Amino acid sequence: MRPKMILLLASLLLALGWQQSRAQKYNHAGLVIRFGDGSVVTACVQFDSESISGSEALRLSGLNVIFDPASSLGETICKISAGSNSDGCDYPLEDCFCQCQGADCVYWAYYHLKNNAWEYSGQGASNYRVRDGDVEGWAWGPGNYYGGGSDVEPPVIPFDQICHLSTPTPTSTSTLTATPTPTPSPSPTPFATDAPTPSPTVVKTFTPTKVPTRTPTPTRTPTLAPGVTPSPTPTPRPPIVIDFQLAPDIVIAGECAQLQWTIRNADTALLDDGAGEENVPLSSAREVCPAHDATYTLRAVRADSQQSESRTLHIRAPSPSPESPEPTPPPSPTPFLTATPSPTPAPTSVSTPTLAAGAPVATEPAAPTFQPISRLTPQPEPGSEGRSSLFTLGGFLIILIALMGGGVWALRRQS
Amino acid sequence: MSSHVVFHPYAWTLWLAAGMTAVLVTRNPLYLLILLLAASFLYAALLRRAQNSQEDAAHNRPMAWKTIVRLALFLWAFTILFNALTVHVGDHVLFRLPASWPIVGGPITLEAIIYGFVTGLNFVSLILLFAIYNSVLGPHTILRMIPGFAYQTGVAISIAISFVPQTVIAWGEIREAQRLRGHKVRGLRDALPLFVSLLGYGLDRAIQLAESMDARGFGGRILPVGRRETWLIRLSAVLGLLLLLGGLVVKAYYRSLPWAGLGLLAAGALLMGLNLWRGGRRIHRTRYRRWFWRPRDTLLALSSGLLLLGVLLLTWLQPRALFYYPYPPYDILPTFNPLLGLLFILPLLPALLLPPAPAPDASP
Repeated sequence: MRPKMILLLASLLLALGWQQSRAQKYNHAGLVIRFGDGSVVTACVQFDSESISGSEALRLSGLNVIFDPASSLGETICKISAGSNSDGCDYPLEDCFCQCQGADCVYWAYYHLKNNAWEYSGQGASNYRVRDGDVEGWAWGPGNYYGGGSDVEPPVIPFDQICHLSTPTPTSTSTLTATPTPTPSPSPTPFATDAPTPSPTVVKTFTPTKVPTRTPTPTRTPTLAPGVTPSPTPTPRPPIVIDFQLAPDIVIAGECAQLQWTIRNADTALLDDGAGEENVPLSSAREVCPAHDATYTLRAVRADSQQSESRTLHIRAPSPSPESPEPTPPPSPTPFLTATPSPTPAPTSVSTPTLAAGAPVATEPAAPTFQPISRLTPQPEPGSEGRSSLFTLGGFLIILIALMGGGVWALRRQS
Repeated sequence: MSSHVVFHPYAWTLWLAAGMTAVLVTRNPLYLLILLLAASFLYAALLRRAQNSQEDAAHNRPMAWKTIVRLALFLWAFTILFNALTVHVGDHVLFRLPASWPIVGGPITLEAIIYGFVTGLNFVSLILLFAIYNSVLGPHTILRMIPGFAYQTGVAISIAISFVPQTVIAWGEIREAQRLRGHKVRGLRDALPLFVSLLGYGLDRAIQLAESMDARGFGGRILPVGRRETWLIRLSAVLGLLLLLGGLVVKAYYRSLPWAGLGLLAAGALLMGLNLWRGGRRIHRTRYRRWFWRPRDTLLALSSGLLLLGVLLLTWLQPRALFYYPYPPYDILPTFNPLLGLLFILPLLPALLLPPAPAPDASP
């Protein structure tokens, strides 16, 4: 009797688990994050389950986020960092809401884009389900003590401007129908009650033959590249896509610029900054402060092909009048918006209205403005804690040996 | 001084305080492992010493705590398992359970296993420290250390500690005697004679104890308190408590003035301490079997003070040195500073200074 029950239970659990692994359609959601100084970062996340939680969407975005997974309020977001922008509290060194300890409360407010307006979230990030086509918003700012909610909102950026699904990604385009739907309303797919398994890895090349027939869901493809047909056979590996940006590309000597890149469908990436090539992550950002004109070449390598792109940073001598540094860099905002030749349509056209709205950032000449990025593959940034070197490991072993010696000697003395 | 309390009890208490603080402020597995190893060697040395000595009281105590330590180790394993199965956060995924399984479904990450290990390590270290402290100082020695102003609590606890095992034995004897007489306990009504006998026995013992305490002059040297002194004690107690409360309120609601809250708390604590000391001063206690302070006690006190001070200074001035949190975005490898590691070896010092058990023929 008992072995039968075990067998029944095991097969039931396996059946439940099996159901999850059959979903292969990819969904996308957008994220808009507004930091305390007004700078805005956007990200597009890709997931293959019906829905993911808001905190999972933040994890997939590739930004550096510190969560408190076990707080009494559910999963709370303590700190978000993106490049040089970072707002929040270093949990667990400090309290997760370290700047919200009384009536003055500055924290990460959570919004959802509904009908082109931000709606303050009624649920926590771990409870809210993000579906295909949703746009999530996070804004760092003071809360409204008397009215509730928060005083600051991220800028309204529609889904189409965050997730550019016109670029030929291998299977997602071949399984989607070519129905351009401009309105970013969430797809009315029936909501499954079982928990999702979001996969943050690169899209697989497997295309089942029956998939093109079962597409009743309007999917978020505003424009589809012409000539893409659903292929019944497994396609060869898609071409490498490099999205390489340098902003600003003219600086005064001694100032810094921001290099940013996203590479898809490649194995390794090498960055040459004039001093030699070095291995870099496939998606990353870096601040560069050269003394002279410098050319940065990014090379994406794969077993069967490679591709490279270059950007040049021009150094201008500092202007003779020290009290007016403002006139010289104003040309820089416009060049970095349009002059970056990248295969993907640059999502930077939205940055002018948003940066103008967030006043302090656009008028500041010295600090490199962090323009909105869009990523599809999440890359967790390396942790900021120092790593133990060989010296400390050796120290630990020596201490252990000394401890063992002392302990054994003490034991010997007692017998 | 009797040999079973090898060091002065105050030195042992300082050792315990230092060890506890060191365990509670850090989650770094490397430092905690060093401390756990040091404490384990000390416990092993105490066990071996108790085996070789002839005093039964000291012989039993380290052994009695062995089961607790074993239980703590079992709970450590359980903590690792529990954390690994219920926390699904981390970058290093070992394997995935189907997400539809309740609670345990999802990725099983290395970070969760490590954090379970560290939490269990914390717990086992604390248990071991307390086991060592309790096996070296028996309950009576600990009770003797209770300061004068709380002497009534100390007396009540020591009577309870002595009475409880005796009551349990008496219960067994009464049950056996009644069974011999053919008395069967079927329900609550039949159990009534048992309770009545036990109550009578307890009252007899209480009267005997009260007579013997009176004969030894218990409570005779407590000086009476004048009216002025009573009012002084009461007012200062109220003032001290108000200062403590005020300090807490200021610390919570006026965060722009952090030192004001701490200052009020310190003033309140000082006032309460003075008050309690004054209250205890009027109770004179004679010492039977006095404790002597030896040079090795100074050494133990100094090393424990060094550990305590070092760890407290680190938490106030440089908390990152002792910090460890494996979940992203923090690094999974812990940092280690060999100098701080040396600090965490200090709890081993009593084992190094422990004299061997006296030979069976020698007097303690």
